[in-house]
Amino acid sequence: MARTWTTHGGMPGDQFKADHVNDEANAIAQQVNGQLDQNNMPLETITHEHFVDPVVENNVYGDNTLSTYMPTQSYHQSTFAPANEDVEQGDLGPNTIFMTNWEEDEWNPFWNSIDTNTGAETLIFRSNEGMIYGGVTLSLERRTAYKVIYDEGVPSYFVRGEDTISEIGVFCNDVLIARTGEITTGAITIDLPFSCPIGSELCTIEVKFKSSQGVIAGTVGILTGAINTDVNKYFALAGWQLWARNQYR
Amino acid sequence: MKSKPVDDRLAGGVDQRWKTSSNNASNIKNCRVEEQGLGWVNDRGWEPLIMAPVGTTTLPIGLGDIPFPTRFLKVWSRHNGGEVYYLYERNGKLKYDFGNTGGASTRSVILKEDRNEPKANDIGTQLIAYSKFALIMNGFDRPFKFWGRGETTDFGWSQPPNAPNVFDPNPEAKEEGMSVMDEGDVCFYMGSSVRTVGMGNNEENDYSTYKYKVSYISDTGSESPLSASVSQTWVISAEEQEGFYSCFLTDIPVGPEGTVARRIYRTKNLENNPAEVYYFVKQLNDNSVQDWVDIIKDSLLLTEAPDGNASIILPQSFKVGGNWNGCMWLAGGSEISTKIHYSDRYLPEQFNRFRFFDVGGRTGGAVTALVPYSNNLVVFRENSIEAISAIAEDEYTISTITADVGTRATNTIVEVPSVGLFFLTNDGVYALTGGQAGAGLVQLQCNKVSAGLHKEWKRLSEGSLARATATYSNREKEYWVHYPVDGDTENSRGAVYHSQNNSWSLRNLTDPKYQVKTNLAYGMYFTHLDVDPEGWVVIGTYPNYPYTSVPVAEFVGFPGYGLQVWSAAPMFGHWIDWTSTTQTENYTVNDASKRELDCIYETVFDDLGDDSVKKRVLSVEVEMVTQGYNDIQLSYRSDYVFNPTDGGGASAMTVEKYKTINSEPVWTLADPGDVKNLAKWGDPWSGDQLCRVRWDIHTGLVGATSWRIHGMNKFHIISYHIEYMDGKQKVITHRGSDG
Repeated sequence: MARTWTTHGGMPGDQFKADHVNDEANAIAQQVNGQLDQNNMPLETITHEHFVDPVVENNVYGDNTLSTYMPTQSYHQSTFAPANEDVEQGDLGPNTIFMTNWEEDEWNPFWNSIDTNTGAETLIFRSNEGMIYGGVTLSLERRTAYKVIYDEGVPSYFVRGEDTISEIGVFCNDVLIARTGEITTGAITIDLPFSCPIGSELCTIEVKFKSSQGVIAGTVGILTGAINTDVNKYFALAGWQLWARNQYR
Repeated sequence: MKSKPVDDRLAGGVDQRWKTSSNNASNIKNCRVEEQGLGWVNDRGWEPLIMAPVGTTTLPIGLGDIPFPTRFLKVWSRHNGGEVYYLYERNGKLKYDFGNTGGASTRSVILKEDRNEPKANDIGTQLIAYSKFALIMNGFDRPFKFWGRGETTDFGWSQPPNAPNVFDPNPEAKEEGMSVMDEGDVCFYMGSSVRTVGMGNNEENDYSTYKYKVSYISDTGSESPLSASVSQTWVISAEEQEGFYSCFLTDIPVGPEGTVARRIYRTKNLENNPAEVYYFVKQLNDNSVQDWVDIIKDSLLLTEAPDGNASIILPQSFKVGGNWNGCMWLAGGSEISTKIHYSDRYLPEQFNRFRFFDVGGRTGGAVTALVPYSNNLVVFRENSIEAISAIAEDEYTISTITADVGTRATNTIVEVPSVGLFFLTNDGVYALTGGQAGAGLVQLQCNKVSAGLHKEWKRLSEGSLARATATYSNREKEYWVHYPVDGDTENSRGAVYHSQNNSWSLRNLTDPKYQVKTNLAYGMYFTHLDVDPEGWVVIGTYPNYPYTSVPVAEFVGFPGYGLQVWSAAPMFGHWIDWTSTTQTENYTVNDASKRELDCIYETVFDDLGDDSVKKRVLSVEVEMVTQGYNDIQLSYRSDYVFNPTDGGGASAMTVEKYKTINSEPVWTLADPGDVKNLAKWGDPWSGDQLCRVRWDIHTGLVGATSWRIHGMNKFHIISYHIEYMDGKQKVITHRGSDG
């Protein structure tokens, strides 16, 4: 449908005909329904004056989400990027890092919130009906180890971790929408994209992790039982960026 | 005496012949045939293509190009209609306007300036769509390709490339494996043992001679003529110099804008074989590099260069052309007026010297148009029509269709779907019908299709026929031709063929012309017509004509100072009224309202079988589509008198509902008075209905009558009949001179 002009003219006193009104409205309706191109945009309907600046909001919901709301979409991001302030030899790496600190046998093999105040593990924003597209890029580290238990100076037994597995998942309003699959030990950076439909609501996107490790005991002397905390190398996250775009329907 | 009706007659089209069907009209002005082909509607007017803001508008000081006539108009679309260009030419500027100015300071994109202003016998600028570009030419300025947006490149070449400089190798300066430059001589030396690269003979006292040529490749893939040749010779004068060498080409010419590559050709060693045969060596896939070193062995040269006839410089003064069968066909203009050149297939700028037809051997005059139609390329000449047909793959023949009819009105040749190829000649509109069946069997026929308008064609300004313009709109289902009459050099009148019911009507503003402001009278000076992809007829005008040299305060711009669109706008465009000059000229924009006699349906004189039997016509009953409360006027004439008698006004409405609460909802009146039922949201609205409207006219005893209805208010006539009484006595005795 290209540009249109008057299809039915009306003068005062002329009969007001439904067919004519429908014809005129149809031309507009086709444009509203997406039949737009260079020429069929009604003239002067969009000029520079009609373009509004995006509305930028920062930390409105207390989670450091930086949001940009635009006419047809909104964009949201948050970043956890600890500064690398420690340059001592042998002690490289950021001085602030997220690390699990569970006590003995408090190992939780299910989805866990990153419950340290990094201020960037969630995005909270007002979504409009449409789709959410986004991604999280993060660095994680997970190791395993063994430990020798001494009994009055004599090694009596050791414990060793096994099946050391981690996983990262993304939740939209508490529904899992993307996961990495199980990741074995190492220090890696992952890039996890996600998308899902969304309604017009307050939307929370959260990054969670899962981590588990078995422990076995090796016999040297008397075996009294192995506990996880003896061998657990913490699960650590060294920064991430989380972003999402809400494309309105 | 009892009155009697004639049978109900469907309202027919215009037929000015003496003896015609009595339901035909003698004049239908500014009406169209309704969508289903039933009846005549006067709901057409025009409005600006780009609407000026209502109220005050500002125009440049001195009006700029605005008062100049539109001398070219073509709607061209690319990308499946995604890009639509309303190209037009005014005051030598070829341009198009875009709707949304955004941050731009102007809404016009000017493609070319200072172009030739066509005289009244010149068809002006022509556009030929070919693949992704359009060839635009006028026979005077350099033809060019338009690629959309603002991109243009020259069409063809005005001269062959210059030959490059070639430096021969200097064996004395050889240094194995390296290049040495010595006073411009470059020597890439390859030892005698090298078998894959290197030129020339390699032993002591051997001579080597080579010749080079280059060509351009344009953005259509076409290849220019080859340059003149340039040669070099060298000799190996000592045993230490033995080996193969290379030639160094510099100043390889950079082609005109639109060149995408250049090709280098050379001979094999002419010392071994003196036959000067050129071979393709290398294509440089850019238009910037100017140096190249040739180390390619003779044995690797396999493809022969095109010969000197494969691509020639075509005179750039061609005026007409067509895109048919993958070739670009060009003809007309001062240099090749009877010669039709056609390009290589799929290479629209590459013209072989011998690919042409010369129709000068047959009478018929200059070629005036090349139009693809059916599976032929129709060649229009001033006084004949011929057809080119393909008889084999890329082989063509030409034959005459008629030596009786031709045309100079190139811009009126338009195909009317399922009817034929229409065109205007000195004596009316003809149509080519039919097509080719089998190789070489031309079955095209040429027939006159407008005999019913013979009075109109007598008025044509034959010398200005090149100015006539036409278009076919699938939206309106009409072929509209607009032409100059009565010695005028601008198009002022139009005739319309309605394919829905195979009839004609007229389109003009001649009696009286449109008057605004100072009572100057303006006509429907539409210099160009074309149609956009949706079927909207786009109109180029001559604003203010015939009052072209007026002060800014007198400029009214009728029938439109920009491109216009034929639409249901209840007005004839806008006229503007000067208010002041404050840096720019300020004008108030006004609707050009329709007037009483701008839309007419007038019947032929009907003697009801015998004009000598006198009868008294009592009334005219017209079956119409309901329109509302606005009155339509009827007037009638008896016995061929000039001045019609007023028959009064009546509104097209079901009579029982007139001014009752049951009347159909209507648009608000400024003074509703006793109109009972204004249209409101939430109320049901009606559609079209049939109604019968009667005008009582009461003639005296007369032989023949004609009636017409007219008005600025809308009407839609479907059929009619008249009620009359007659006597038995014939009046065939001459009366005295006093009557």
